[in-house]
Amino acid sequence: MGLLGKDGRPENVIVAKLDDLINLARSRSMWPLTFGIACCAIEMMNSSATRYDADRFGFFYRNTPRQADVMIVSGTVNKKIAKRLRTLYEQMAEPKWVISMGACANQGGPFRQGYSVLEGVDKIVPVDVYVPGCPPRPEALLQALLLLRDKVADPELRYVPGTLMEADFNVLAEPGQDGRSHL
Amino acid sequence: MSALTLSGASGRVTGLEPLPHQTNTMVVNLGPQHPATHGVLQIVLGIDGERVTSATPHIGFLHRNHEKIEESRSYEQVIPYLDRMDYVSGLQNELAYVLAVESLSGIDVPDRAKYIRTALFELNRVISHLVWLGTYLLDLGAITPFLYAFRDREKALDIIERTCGARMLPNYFTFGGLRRDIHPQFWHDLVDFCAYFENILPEYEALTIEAPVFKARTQGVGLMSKELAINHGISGPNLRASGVNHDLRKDQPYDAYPYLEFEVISRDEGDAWARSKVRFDEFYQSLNLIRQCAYKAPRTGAIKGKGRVKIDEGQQIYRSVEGSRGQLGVYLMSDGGAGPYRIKHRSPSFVVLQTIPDLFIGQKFADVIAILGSVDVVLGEVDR
Amino acid sequence: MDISLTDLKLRRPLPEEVGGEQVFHFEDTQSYRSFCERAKAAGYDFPNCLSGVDVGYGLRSVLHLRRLSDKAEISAWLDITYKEPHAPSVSDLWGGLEWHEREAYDLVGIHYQGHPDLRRILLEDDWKLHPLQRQYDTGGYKKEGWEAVPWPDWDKIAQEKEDKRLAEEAKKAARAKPAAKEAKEAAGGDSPKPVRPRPAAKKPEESNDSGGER
Repeated sequence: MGLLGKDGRPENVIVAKLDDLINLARSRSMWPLTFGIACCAIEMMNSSATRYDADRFGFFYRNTPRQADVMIVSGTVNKKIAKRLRTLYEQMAEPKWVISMGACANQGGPFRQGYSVLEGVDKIVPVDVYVPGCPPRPEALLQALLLLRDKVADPELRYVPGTLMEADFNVLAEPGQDGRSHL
Repeated sequence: MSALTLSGASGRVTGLEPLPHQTNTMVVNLGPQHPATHGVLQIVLGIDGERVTSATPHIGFLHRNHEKIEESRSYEQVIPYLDRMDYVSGLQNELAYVLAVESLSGIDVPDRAKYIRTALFELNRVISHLVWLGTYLLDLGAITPFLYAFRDREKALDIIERTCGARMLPNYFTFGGLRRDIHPQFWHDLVDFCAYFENILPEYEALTIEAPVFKARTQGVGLMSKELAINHGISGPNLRASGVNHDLRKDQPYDAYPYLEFEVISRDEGDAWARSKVRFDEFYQSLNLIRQCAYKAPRTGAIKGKGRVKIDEGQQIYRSVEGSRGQLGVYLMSDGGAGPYRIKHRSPSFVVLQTIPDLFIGQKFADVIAILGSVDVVLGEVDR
Repeated sequence: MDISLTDLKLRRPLPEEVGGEQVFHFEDTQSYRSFCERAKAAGYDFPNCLSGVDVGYGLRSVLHLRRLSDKAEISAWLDITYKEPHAPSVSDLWGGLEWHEREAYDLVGIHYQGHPDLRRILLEDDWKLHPLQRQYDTGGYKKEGWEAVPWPDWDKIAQEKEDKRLAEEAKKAARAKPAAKEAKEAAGGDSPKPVRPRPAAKKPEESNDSGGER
């Protein structure tokens, strides 16, 4: 990008790659999906409410996956919700990003050893930003959203479609010992 | 409502008379991803025209094996898990369990710790009801109350954070009292908050509970009869809005409640508005109780009683407290080891979700959200 | 207590206080059901809780009831074997226990007979294990070498308990007397310790109710 005005063209014309412009626009109006799962969902609500106000960065929550760009996985993902979460992810239009919020979504958190808990949401969807904490404070989520914004705007860091882990997902869905599925 | 036939002692809805103009039944999935289910609840609704003909709740989308994990933890290690059960009012869960262990191992709690625990318990009720108020009004289409409620919730969370170190899931109560001493400004903060919040409550009242639109949406909707409420074990504001004067703070007083003066709030209507009104009146009640704690609490003294956790083999107890959503119970069983043999959590939201078919069937489709929000469920404690 | 119990088969001769609660302990499903009906008739209208517990030798359904009029509380236990984990449903008496029973079926594996809708509630329908049974570890996998303990002989335990109580009383009486020698004699040898089933015990004893393969 840059301002060019030497070879006769007017000075207020900006020349850039279309991709860069689109990415810039995307990064300034990212719409997360309203999908609260557990404790972190309350902090997610907090981050968009009065004191923290994520709206000022262009993060505006949408209720349907068809209109959302970002999925914030805010809470423990167990084996029952995992399939629904995956469906929601697939219903989101490309390009799409995922924030894993809190210890549970990162790797299972305090419930890691349990029979019903998925050890990290990155087993079923590709994650762009991990937020540590149990639960993370709203400031931490805001930082994650800003990090994601940088990632979207920067072509070097951009998410490449076609890296879904469908094969892994199918293996996980098969029933294992005692007839319980690994997913 | 006239088309309903009620039968049996429980007053359960058993069938519906066919409409004169029968239309095809449509099945609507409400959830698990839906902004108004307050979490991951799924309700499969059968809809005939505008009327709900069947409702089947599906839960378990947040089942985190609390009860199994807690079997392999020591008594002390269980407490952080309890915060995460009902994450909107974590300290209340802690208290139910802590009281159970205290009464089994005979640990005494100093008066000062009792008052602090009670004040925090009531502050948590305010926080929880604020979340309910904000999200319920958001469900009904009003965004401003959500922003108001979360603004004031932050002020209350700040007090908890200053004293306990964490905002939401503090892990603060322990057997015999408190884990750490309170912040020197604790009581000042509380009294300041009470003054501020009581001042602003009339504005809330005009904006939400007394607003004509809110009344039109909630009055006469989602009627829960007294018989059904008792038979189904409904507790808390939902029970008290159905004309039952039952409050564990009064009936089985614990901690500092025997020393405090308050009246149990109840109403007779049993509809969504009555449930909201009871919760709203509990704001005033909680502030009053917090203030009483602040005036009566000893300023000096121990925060933790002496005594070790020692529970004999075969000992068991069912202990419950009046949480913001109702009767929070813990069934604790010991085998004499370092940790519990079995813990079962009796969560009020789990119980109230059973009445979803009774509340929904026969109602208008648009009222479904108004009813669901009025019973105030937290899915963390439903699924555990 | 305002419920007539004379014709019921209580597992322990008298209702006893455990942890400050009045507990009625059954092994006979008919008696349990009959007790519940009488409790309902006696005004215990509020269902506090129903929990399923794996007690090591079998499964137990623990019912907690409250009477709102005078805040009285009782609880009833029903012990059943691993092999035939059937208990009568009481959700027709207290509607609020319907989901509690479903949960106990789902997590602990107690089959409530007469339940209107006994399906899994927290786990998905295709799960096969009941994870809160002691034979499974936290991850839901079978524990190596886990075996059920034999069914306790409650009469013997009650007898031992009574013996211990008598011995302690004698000890107290002896302590009250000034002569130290007499006290020693009265206390006798070791007071018999009541043998409670330790659920996690790994005794390879003969047992009819092996919870291993189901």
